[in-house]
Amino acid sequence: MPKVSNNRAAKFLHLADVLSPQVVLLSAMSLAAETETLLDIVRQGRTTPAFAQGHLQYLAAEAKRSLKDFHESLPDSDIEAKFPDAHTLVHSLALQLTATRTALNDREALNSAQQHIAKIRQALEEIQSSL
Amino acid sequence: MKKLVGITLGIMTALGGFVDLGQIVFTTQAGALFGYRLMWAILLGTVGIIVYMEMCGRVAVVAHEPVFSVVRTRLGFRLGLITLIASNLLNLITCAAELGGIAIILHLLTGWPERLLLVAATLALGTAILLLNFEWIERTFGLSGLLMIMFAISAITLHPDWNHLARALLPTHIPSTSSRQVLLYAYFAVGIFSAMLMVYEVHFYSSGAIEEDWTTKDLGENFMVSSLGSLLGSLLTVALLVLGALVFQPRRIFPETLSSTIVAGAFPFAQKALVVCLLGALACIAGAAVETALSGAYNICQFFNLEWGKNRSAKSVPVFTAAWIAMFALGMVIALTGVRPLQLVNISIIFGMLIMPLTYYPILRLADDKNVMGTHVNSKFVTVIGTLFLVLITIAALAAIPLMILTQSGTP
Repeated sequence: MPKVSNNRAAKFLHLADVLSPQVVLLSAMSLAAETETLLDIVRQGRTTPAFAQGHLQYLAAEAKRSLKDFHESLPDSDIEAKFPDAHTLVHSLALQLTATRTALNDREALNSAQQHIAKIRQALEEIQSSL
Repeated sequence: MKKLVGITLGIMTALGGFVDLGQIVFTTQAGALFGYRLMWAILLGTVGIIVYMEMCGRVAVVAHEPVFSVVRTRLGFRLGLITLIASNLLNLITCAAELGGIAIILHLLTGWPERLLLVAATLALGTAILLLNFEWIERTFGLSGLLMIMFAISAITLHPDWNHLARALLPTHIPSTSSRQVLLYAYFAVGIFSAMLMVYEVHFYSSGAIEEDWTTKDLGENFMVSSLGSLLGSLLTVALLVLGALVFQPRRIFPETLSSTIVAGAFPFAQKALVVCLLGALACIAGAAVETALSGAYNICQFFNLEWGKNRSAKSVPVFTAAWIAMFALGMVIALTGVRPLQLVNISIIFGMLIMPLTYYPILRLADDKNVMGTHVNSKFVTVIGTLFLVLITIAALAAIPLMILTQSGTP
């Protein structure tokens, strides 16, 4: 008996811990918006290089965590069927965040990264509003 | 002059308690989600901590009993021991989280590897505690924590709606009808309230009153120190809420990192303000790490009636010295495992709620005991307010874990 209840508790805690795809989408949208804000500040010279690098590193880690949460929220087949674009977008957001860390001194690369991230955010918002 | 310097105990206690890693991120998140709507939770927490901090200081001065000595005598050995173990586990988790937070801030300042900075910072803090006496510890961390005022300056510069802010001092309904939003609102209200009443604050404060040899003549100072320190911590907490509401809410950002909060703190300004924000947060988080490590050592010695005191030589209080060193060492090991500091601090805020009644109840009982407190016994007003807060704390303690599970630790 105790084993059964332990299993139930574990299942409940697992379910409580697994985020829904919608929640993961919201988190990815927030990360994208935050990165856009940061890149604005970087372009205006209002941050230090170490801070910008470090903050982007933490945002990239959060994006990777979102991607992992996405995988845990649904079986892979369901992700393919229901959220194919969203999954790809979160994946590109994570990649872009990592890439942007090396482009902080390059104004053009920074502009293009910001535009790319804005497009990702808009696409995520469209998916979110269609759910 | 003594009164003026004595305020640093209240400032360090409140900044290390209110404005630690958890509160900095948690309150900004609350602002990002609910705007000014949780102002009332800050007000409630401020009144609660002033009442109980003052009571703990008074009990320490009059009965010469710091908090954990009271816990043992009033709860009995067994329940007292459970409270001691739970409190020190939470102190350890919080200390680990704060050490992790220090490494993050140093990384943001220097760009050096985080793990190296974590070890270096722990060694530096340990050396500072070893070398400094209690007064200098509180002055160093209390006064340097004042750099956090930069967050308040930023909040004011962004022109908050003062009328809206004042209206939020009373609980208001949230416009959303979704049950998840309501649960999140309750989770953040409980979390803010809990973070402001974290028990290590009163452990540290009452031990500090004894370290500084306060007498009944200093009871006026006790009230002033606990009130002013808490009000300052509270104002900075309000600033964090306002920054969350003004910087993040309009952009639909839910800040999930400490660095995000620093961005908000320096948002209207440039590089220099960013560095000041980093240094202010560093001082407060380091103060919290010191508070939790020392509180762990105070608790053990006071519970088992062993010699303790930061103003005594390390050799003359071997258990006390070994205990705070162990808190730092274990905290560093936990942080080095790579666990996210914010995850740790979320756990400590919510589980911290559970042991609050077991700490605050015995204090209220003793402060209300005329045989022990004599003329310094609680007034009827303080007893009523203290009892009311004990009821609120107990309700919040019962709700904390279910809310944490149902909201997935406050995920929007």
